[in-house]
Amino acid sequence: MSITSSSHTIASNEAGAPSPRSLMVQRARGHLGFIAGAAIVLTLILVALFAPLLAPHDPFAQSLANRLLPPVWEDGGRWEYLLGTDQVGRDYLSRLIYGARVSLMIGFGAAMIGMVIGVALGICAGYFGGWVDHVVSFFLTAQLALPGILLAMALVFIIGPSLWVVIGIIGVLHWTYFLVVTRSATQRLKSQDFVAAASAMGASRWQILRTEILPNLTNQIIVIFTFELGISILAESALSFLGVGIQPPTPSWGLMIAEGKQALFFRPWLVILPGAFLFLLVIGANLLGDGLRDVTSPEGRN
Amino acid sequence: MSEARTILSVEDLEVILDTPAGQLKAVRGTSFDLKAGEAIGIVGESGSGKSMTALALMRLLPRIARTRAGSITLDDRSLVALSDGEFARSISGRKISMIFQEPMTSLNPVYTIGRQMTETVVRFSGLSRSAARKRAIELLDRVRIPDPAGRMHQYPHQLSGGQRQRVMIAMALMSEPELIVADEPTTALDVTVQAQIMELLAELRREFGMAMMLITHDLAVVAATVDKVAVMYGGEVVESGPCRDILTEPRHPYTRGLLACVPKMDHAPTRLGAIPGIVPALLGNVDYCVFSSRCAQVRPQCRTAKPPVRDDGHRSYKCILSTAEINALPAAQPDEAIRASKIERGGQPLLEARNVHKVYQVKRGLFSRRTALHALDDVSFAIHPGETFALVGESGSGKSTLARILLGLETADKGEARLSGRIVSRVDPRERARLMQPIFQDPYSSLNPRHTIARIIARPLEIHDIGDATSRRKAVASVMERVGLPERVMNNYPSQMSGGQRQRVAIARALIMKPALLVCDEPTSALDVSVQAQILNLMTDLQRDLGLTYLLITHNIAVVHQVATRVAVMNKGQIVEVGEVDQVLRRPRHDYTRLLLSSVPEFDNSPFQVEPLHSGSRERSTVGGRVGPS
Amino acid sequence: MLKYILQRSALALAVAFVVSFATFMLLNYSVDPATAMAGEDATPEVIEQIRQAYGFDRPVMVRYLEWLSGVVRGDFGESYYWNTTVAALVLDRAPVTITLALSALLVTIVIAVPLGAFAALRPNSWIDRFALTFAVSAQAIPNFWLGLMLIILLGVMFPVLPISGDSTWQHFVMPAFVLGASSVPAVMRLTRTGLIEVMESDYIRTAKAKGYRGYALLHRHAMRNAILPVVSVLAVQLGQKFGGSVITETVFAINGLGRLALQSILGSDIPTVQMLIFIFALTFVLMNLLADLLNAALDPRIRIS
Repeated sequence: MSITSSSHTIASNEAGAPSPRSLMVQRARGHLGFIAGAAIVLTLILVALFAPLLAPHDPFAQSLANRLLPPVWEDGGRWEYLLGTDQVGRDYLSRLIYGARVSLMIGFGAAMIGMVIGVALGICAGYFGGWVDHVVSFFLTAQLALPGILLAMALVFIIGPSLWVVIGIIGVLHWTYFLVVTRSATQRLKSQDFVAAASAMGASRWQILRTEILPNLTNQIIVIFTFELGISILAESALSFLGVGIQPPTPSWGLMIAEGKQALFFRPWLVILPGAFLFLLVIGANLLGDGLRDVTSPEGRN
Repeated sequence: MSEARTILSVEDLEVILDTPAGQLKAVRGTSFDLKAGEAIGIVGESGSGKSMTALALMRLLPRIARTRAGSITLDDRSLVALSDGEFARSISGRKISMIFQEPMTSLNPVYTIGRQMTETVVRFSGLSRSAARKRAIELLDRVRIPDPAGRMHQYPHQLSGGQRQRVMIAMALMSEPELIVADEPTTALDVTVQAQIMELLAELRREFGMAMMLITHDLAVVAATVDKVAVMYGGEVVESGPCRDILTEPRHPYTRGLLACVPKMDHAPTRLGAIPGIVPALLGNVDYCVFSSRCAQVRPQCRTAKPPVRDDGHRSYKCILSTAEINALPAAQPDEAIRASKIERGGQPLLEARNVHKVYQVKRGLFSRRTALHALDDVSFAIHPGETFALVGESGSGKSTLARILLGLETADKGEARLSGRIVSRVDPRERARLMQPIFQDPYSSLNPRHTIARIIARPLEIHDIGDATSRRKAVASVMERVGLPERVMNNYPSQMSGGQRQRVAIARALIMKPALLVCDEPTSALDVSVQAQILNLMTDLQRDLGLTYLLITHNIAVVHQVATRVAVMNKGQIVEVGEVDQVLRRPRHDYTRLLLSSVPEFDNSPFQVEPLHSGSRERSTVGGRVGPS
Repeated sequence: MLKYILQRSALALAVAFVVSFATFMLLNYSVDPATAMAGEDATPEVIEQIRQAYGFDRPVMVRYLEWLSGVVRGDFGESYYWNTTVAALVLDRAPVTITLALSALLVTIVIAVPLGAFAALRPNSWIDRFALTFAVSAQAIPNFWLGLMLIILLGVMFPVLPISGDSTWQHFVMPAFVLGASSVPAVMRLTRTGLIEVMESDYIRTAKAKGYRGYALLHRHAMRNAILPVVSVLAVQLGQKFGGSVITETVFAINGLGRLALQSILGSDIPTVQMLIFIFALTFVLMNLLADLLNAALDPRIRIS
C-alpha cells in the first residue's frame, strides 16, 4: 500500500470531494512550467496571427542601402530596424515575426497529420489486438528504423519543396509517439471493467470506442500533440537549414539561420536571433506538454 | 507465557504525511507492547493506519511521511535514538524481519532465490557462503518447498505465488529474528494456500520462539493466529486486549460494529450489522473521537473532546461509554433471518450452462510450444428465477471465464449458455441487457472515470436509445434512491466517490434496465468488511423487493453462506459439487469442497463444523484454522 | 534462448527488408528518377536518354529485385553523381561517422545516466529540478543552431577548438557534444523514471527490510533492474545517431556518411541516397537486435522461459 494511494482514498472518501475539473484547474494554477509554457505558446500564436499588424516593415522588401544593419543595441544599429537587417536589407524583426507563422503552421499541420495516423493505428492495434496489433507493431518498428530526417530531405527534394509538401512529409513521418501511447492506453482501457460492462449492456464496438475509450485518451493525445508540435517545428527548421525545406524568400527561422550562417563570424545576430525564437517556441511547447501531463494526471508524472 | 520478558514496546507512535491538502496524521498516539514469543494482530480497514504502523516501525515509510514516537524499545534497547544507518545495520533483517503482502513482486526478479536468501547473513552476520547455503536449503525444506537445493538456482518467476511467500518466510528466518512483522501475508493468496501459510507461520513461531506482529484486515485470520489484538480506526488504536475477549465481547462501538459486519457461518444467516457512512478525512488536529462521525452511540461531547482511555489492566478501549453502559446496549447485529423462501424449480431456468467447454492455447514461456488449457471442462448448471446461485472457486478455477461466457462477452468452444431458453449469443443485445446485467469486482475500474454518475447510470438507456433526457434523468434518480445514493452525487465523477458508493453506482446501472438476473463477479472482494456488509445487505433487500435472481461468483465461502441459496464448487474448470448451500457447506461430498471449507479460518469459539463424512477422508481436510493459542 | 535469438533476428531481417522496399518505392516510384536526375531545364529527349541509359524504363519491381540481389552479393551499385561505386563511397566515409556516433553516445551516457540517477535518488530536490529543466531545454534547442553557437563560442570568441573538418580528435569534440546532446533528454528521463520505479518497487522494500541502505542497496539490488530499459534506449539512440549525423556533419564540415547523404540528395544521386537510407536503417535494426540480446542476457525472465 503506497502512501499516495491511501491518502488519495481518504481524500476521495470525503463527502463533497472536489470534481476532477476543479482539481485540474487548481493544479494548473500552481504549475509554473504550465503557466510559462502556455504564455509563450499563446503569445507566439498571437504574434503569428497578427503578423501584418505587428511587423514594422514588409518582410520581403529588400533595401540594398540598408544591408546587414546590426540590432539597435549594437554600434551602428538604427531604431528603424530594431533587430537589424539581413544580407539583402530586409527588416529582421519583420521576418522573424512572419517566421512564427511558418513554424506554427508547420507545427500544427504536421502534428495533426501525425495524430490522425498514430491515433487511428494505435486505437486499432490496442483495441483489436491479435494480428492487427502484430502488423501495426511491425510497421512501427520499420518506421522507427528509417532515418527520418534523411528520408524527409530526400522526399522533399524529389517531390519539390513547398510549405504543404513539408507539412505533409513531416506529418507522415511523425506518428510513432502517438501510436505507442494510444496503443498501450487503449490496451489498458480495454481490460477495464467499464468496457466489459458497456458490452454487456449491448453497446456496439463503435459505441464503446467513441464513448468509453476515446474520452479517456484525449488528455494523453493533447499532451503528445503539444510535444509533437515542438518536434515538427524543429524538424522543419532542420530541413530548411539544410536547404531542402522551406525555400527563399519565405521567412522561415531555419532558413534564416542558414542564410545568416555565411555571416556567422561578423554578424552572429543573424544566426542567434532566429535560433533563440525557435528555442523559445519549442521550449514553450515542451513546458506546456509537461505541464499538461502533470495537470491532467498527477500520478503519471513522467 | 505470561512471565515472558517484553521484547518490543511502542509508545505514542505518530506518522505524519505532508499532503497537498495539509498535514495528515495517519497514525496517532499508537502504543502497544509484545512479549517474547507472543503474537499481536493489528486489525483495521483500509485507511486505519495499520500498515503504516508496521512500516514506521521498520523505517520503510516513503519520503513524504515523518515518524515521531515517544519511545520504541526492542529488548530494552531504545530504537528512537538510532540513526537510519545504525537501524539498518543492527535491527532490520537481523532482529526484526518482515514479510509483505505481494509475494509476486516482493522478490527481486533478476536474482536467484539462493542469492536473495543468503546475501544478508553472508554480508552482515559473517556466515560463510557454504554455511549460509546449507541453512537456506534447510529453511526452504522447513517451509515445505519441494526440491530446496534445486530451487536455490531458480528465479522468482519460476515459482508460484504461494511458493514465493514460503521463500519470503524462509528468507525472513535466515537471521533468526526475535520478531517477525507480517503485513497482510496471505491477502494476495488463495484461501487454501492462505490456510497453509498461516499454519506454517504459527508453527515456525512456536518452533523458533519468535514474536509476531500480524497486520491484517481479516478478523477471521486474526482469530486463528494471534494472542492479542489492537483494533485500529482512523489512525488510532481504539481497542486492544486478548484476542478471544475482543472477538467475543467487543467494547468499542467500532469493534462491535465491525464484528457485526462479518458474515458468520455458525448459524443461519441474519442481516448484517452495518456501520453507516465512510471513513472521514482526518486532516489537521484530531481533538475529538475519530469514530464520532459514524457512531450510533454518539454524544455531543464525542465531537468536541477526545474520549477517555478505559483500561482495566487486561484490556483497554477509547470511549466515553463505560463497560457497563456498553454491555447494556442492544446487539450490533439485528437478529433478522434473511434466507429467501423456498424456490420453485419446476419451470424453465433463467440462465443455464449446458456442457460448456473452453480451451485456451497458452504459451508457458515466451516461446515454448502452445499447450491447451482447459479453462472450462463440461460445465452444466441451471439457475431458476428468484434464487441466488453461487459459483465458488479459487483463482484459476475458471469461474470468471464462465461468467464472461454467460454474459456473452466470450463464446464457448463447445456446449452453450442459454438465457431464458435461448442461446445467449443469439439473443438481441437489447433484450439480453433487459434480462441480465453484470456487477464487477473492482468498483474503481467498472465506472468510466470520464463520465458523471448520472451518465454512467443512464448509459444502458442511452445505448438502447430509450426515452429522452428528462425521462432518463427521472429513471436515474429513482434507481439511485433505490440503491441508497443521495441525489446530489448525480453530477459527481467516480473519483469523487468511495469504493462502496461506486459499487452502488454499478448496481444502479445494472438495475436501470430492470433485469431479471444480476451476474455478480466478486462484488465485494475489493471492499472493506464494513462496506461489504452494506453491499450484501443491499443485495438482499433488492432481491426481496424486486424479485431479482443472482449469479454470485466468489472465492469467499462466508459470503456464499450469507446470501446464496445454492452453490456450485469449481476446481480446475470443473464443477465438482453442486447443491443447496446448507447441504454443500455442512455435508460436503467432494474432497476439494472439504479442503476448501477446512481452509476457511474459524472466526470465533463456535467454529463452523463440517460433519465428518466417513473415515478415510483426506488428511488435508483437517488442516487449517486449528493453530491459534487457546 | 536460442529460439529467442532466432526470432528476434528474423524480425530484424523482415524489418530491414520492408524498409528497403519502402524506400526504393518512395524514391523510384513517387517521382520519375530520370526527371529528377536530369534537372529542371532538361528537354524530354535528355530525360529519355537518361531513362534508357540507367534502365529506368524497366518495371520498378524488376529494378528493386536487381538492387536487392546486388546488396546481398555486396554490390551496392554505381553512383551517378560521384562516378564511383557506392560501396567505395560508403567505405571511404563510414569510419568518420562511426567515430562520431560512438563518441556522441559516450557523451550521452556520461551526461545523461549520472544525471538521471542522481535525480531519481533525490526526487524533487534541486538536482532533480535541474535535471528536468536541463532535459526540457536540451529538447528545445535546434541541433544545428547549438552547433553554430558552439562555433561562435569555442571557435571564434574563445578559439580553443577547430570548427570544421575531421583530421584530429579535437575536431570531434564539438560535433560529438552536439550530436550526443540530442539524446541526453530521452536517456536522462528514462534513467530517472526507471530508477524511481525500481526504488519504489516491492523488492527494494524487501531489500530495505533486510537491512540494505544507500550504496549497497543501489549496487546490489536496484542497478540491474534499472539498467534494463536504459540499455535498450541507448542502443536505439546509437542507431539514430547515424541518421542524425546529417546535420552535425554539415555544420562542422565533416566528410562522413551524413554529409555524403546531403550531397547525394542535392545531386539527385538516388542510388547513393537509397543505399545510405538502407544502411542507416540496417544499423538501427542491428542495434535494436543487440539491445534485445543484451536484455535477454541481463533479465532471467527472458533468458529462462
